Amino acid sequence: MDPLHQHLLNKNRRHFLQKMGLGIGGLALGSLLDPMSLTGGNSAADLLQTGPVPLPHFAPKAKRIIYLFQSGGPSQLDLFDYKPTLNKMRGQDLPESIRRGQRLTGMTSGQDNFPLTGSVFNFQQYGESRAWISELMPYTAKIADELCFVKSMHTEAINHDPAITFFQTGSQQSGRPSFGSWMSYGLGSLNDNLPAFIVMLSRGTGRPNGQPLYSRLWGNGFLSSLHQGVQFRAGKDPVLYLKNPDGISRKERRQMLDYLAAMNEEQEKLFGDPEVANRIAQYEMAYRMQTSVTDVMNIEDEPDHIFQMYGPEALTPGTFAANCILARRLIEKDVRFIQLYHMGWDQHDNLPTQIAKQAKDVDQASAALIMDLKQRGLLEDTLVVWGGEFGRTNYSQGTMTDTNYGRDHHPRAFTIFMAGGGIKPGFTYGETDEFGYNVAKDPMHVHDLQATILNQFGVDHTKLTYKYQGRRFRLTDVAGNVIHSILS
Amino acid sequence: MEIWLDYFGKFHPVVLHLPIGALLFTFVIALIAFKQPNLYSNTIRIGLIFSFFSALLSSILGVLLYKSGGYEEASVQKHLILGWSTTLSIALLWILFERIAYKTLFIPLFGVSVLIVGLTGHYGGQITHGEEYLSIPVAEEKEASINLDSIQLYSQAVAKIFDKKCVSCHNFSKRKGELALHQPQAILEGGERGMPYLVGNSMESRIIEYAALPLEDDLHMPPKGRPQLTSTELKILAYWIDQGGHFEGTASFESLPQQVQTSFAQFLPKELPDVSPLKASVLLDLQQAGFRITSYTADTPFIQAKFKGETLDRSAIKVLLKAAEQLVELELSNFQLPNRFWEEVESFQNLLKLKLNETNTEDHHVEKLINLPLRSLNIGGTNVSSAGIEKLFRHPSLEYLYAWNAQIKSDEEEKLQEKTSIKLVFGVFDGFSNPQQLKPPKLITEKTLFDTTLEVDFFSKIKGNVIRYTLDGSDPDSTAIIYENPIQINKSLTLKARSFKSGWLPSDVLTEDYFKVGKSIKDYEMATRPSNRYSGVHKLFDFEEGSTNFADGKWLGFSGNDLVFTTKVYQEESINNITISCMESIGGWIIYPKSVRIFGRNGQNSFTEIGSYKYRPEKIPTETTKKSFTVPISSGTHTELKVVVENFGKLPSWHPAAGEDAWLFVDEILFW
Repeated sequence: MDPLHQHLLNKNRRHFLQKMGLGIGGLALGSLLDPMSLTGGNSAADLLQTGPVPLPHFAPKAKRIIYLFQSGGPSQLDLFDYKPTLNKMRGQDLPESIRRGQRLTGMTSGQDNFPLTGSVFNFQQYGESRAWISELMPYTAKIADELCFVKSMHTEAINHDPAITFFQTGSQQSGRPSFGSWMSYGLGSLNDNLPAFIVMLSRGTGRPNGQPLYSRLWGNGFLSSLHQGVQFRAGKDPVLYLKNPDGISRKERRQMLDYLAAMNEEQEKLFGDPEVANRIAQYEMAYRMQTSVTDVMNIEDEPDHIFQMYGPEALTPGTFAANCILARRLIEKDVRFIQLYHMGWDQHDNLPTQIAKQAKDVDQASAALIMDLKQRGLLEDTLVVWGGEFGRTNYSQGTMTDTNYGRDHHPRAFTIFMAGGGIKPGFTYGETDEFGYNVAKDPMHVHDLQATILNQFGVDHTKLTYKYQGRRFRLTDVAGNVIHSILS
Repeated sequence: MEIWLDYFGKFHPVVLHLPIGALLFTFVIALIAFKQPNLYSNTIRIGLIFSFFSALLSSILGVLLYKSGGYEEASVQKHLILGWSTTLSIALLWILFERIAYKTLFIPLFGVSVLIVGLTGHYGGQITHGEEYLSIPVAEEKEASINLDSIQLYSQAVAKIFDKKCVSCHNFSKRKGELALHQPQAILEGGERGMPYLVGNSMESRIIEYAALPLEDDLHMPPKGRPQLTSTELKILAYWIDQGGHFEGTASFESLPQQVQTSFAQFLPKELPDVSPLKASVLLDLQQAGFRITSYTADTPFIQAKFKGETLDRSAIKVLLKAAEQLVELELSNFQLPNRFWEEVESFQNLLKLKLNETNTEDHHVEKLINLPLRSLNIGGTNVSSAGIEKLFRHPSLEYLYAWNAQIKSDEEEKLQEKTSIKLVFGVFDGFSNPQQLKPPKLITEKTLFDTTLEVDFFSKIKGNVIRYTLDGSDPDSTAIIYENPIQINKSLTLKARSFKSGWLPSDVLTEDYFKVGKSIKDYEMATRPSNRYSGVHKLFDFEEGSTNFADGKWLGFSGNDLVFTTKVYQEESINNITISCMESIGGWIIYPKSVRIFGRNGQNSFTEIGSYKYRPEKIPTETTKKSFTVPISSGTHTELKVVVENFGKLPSWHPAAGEDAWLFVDEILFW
């Protein structure tokens, strides 16, 4: 129902009930229209319903998610997708029978040839699951049997922003609600004092000036602004504008918020704009966050062996490792959706030097996070996803030497991994061809991933919709299939 | 017009009750008037006329409703015919009543009409309520509850494993390798390689053998990429084969070896039982008592509870008992459990997941959990020891047991796991606990250039982390000065610092050179302009160095053009060197300057070159770097200097964007 219509209806019913003197007449009418309203409240289910539609649709395997987004497009060919053919055929041109007219970015479209280049890094198989992992990810290799690798991810976009937007919102064009917002809208919060959707960023050391990220990636789109992601930062102010200004006490702040709420309620009565109510709720949340955020961000009380586990980087606020510890602390507080972005995975040139640094940034902390969740018994209902917006080409961008090469963006096949949340551990789904260029078996599209993740939360992705501008939108647009073979 | 017809159609369910009531009423009157025909003749007439017209209206509206769509023809047909028959039969009754054979035929025909009305109503009801609505109630069949004294290994577990993991390829129609496993008879026929198993000898049986082959082996089953047999499933298959591979016959649960018991328990039906919905008043009580309640799924009455109040006391447990049936997940972590909890815990008969980590749980408590249908239990950080854990091994449904930081010695862990198929998680993970090297300390102070004094500050937030430093160029060891307050610097020097922390290896040494410049440049005139995105000429002379991030706001960038400026020199200043600090970043198309040239003049004379530097790169750059170029200038009296920093020009052939304009980035220019 559109908001204006809703408002007019509110008005009519109010006036009508006033005329009825709110007496027996009103009561009788109410019960005629809705037989449940007289007995209403007999079931607690209505009271527990946080979202607009009854959810979860079925018993959930996961309640919380940590999405470790590797922004820039990590090279699957140097991390997980072992392709010895590329080393054997080094320097030869990518056959057209493999490329099959793949669209190129502006950065390599002018290149005369596409010399295949294998990885300079050594690969080995690890764990009982015999997963292939390169020497760049030694800690990830240790926990191979906890992970489910998807080697057949594919996307439609070839440039960073549309590709990230696609992963985050299900559409390449910006403006749709982000993944976390959909979750917050559909499933509600598990915590009264923290937002349901929290975002943290870190810069990679491999390419410290890598592409920036925009806050619309965690925006609420057309959903209520209550569902937007809140960014937590390292440093003095974890959440901007949350602190009381000097000289303002918490009590004074409370009074100010009370008066403000009273005024906002007046406005809401006059205009009925639902965003006014949202704003009141957000002020209240911010007030509660003034204490809860300081609590959760204070990692000094973490024991030393936890810092050891996540690695020395964890001692430096603002790093990926430090954010991983924070993510775990937020999970313990039942935050629904935590998204970490680690930037700098865009290795167009100098890939070997850069990716080694990038991998060092995230390897130990990602693995430690998964094991830390496991030892606390949280991994069984927390889903961890690790991956970027696309993969990288099997041919070199720019000059290729014995020890140096670059790789351009590649949408047709790349690798991500998941752990926990009812996803099959020690499993590899999908395969690429011997060139690592096309998916050879069991493809997984971005919408399939989104559908599968929602499925783990007990949500049928085709039924989590929001009507806007005359159309029922959903995260998976009009596509997406749950990939059942990766579910445990 | 059509919309309105559809709209009127919706009144069919209202109008249809009129002819039913009216006809029945008239029928009663007609029966009463059977002996005295004239007594109620007007009433009967009115009744019939009213019935007829309301039936006619109802029939028309019914047709409209049908036409508006959404109804299946088959289900409506009988109702439609009977509806019109009702209307016609009432018309017939009316005619009979007014004319001839009144006495003999009227009442029987009336009876028939009432019957037709009844049938019409019945079929109408089936359309709205569904055909099942009026079917005779039958006691609901439930899956036979499992009798633990006589379990059937094949039908209750083995067949389920085959169905789940094998039958998609080995069935009647697909029959890979000519083997089918979908029913006993087919299994006994074997495949092209013979029987799938050898009675009484699991080790020699193909099913077990093939599952144990490496994944890469062509014979490995299930094939690579398919869901594999779990260790639990393999245990059951092996046990079944060893016991003779029978398809019939029963055994008692107790007679199974313990490992097989726990494996088998996972195949027992786990369907949640019928439970009445939680009352709203109970929900409010629970919330009042400090529990956060969430629903398990929207269409079941089951709930999850987490205690988040102040203290967990007897009364809180009492309130929780009101939802004992509905509770499937309970989290009481980090609270002292009152005895009442352990007295009552067996009431939570549907509890699947229980989190008691960091509570005062003891060994003798856990026995009470045996009869709960738990799948996951967390007793991390409690007083439970290996004795308590072992008591849980006979739990029939438990799959995960978390015991991190419980009272288990590390040498017991492996032995415990060998005794059970419950997954035990103790939380010691190889390779994550080696001593690691600290990161070097990090400076808050970004400035390294200053004109009088400088305060140098470190980030020192981490508990137990000690920063030691020297100012004399030597590497700090465990006796060097400990950093407590900001370091005051008033001359050029080299600071070296290192992090120390017990349990960690000391960090590498951080080295930072501080440079007292002494001369600040104020009167200058730019001859070229930087790009708008990286502008702000004063930044060249503010003693604030940029980082290796060209977009950090401290760099000036020139695309394709040079940096040229002039500055006044005052008598009292003696300038011997000029230092230009630049950046190179291949990804950013930034290259060091081709040359730096300094010109000087006295008064209004023309400029003459008094110093120059030519940059010759040694190798193709790979990393983003910063470099300072120092140009000594020849002595002489100059009142004005001109500095020309030459852009590299076009990007060279080895660059991915060869031929494009290169960028020149400069953050600081020093005169000394």
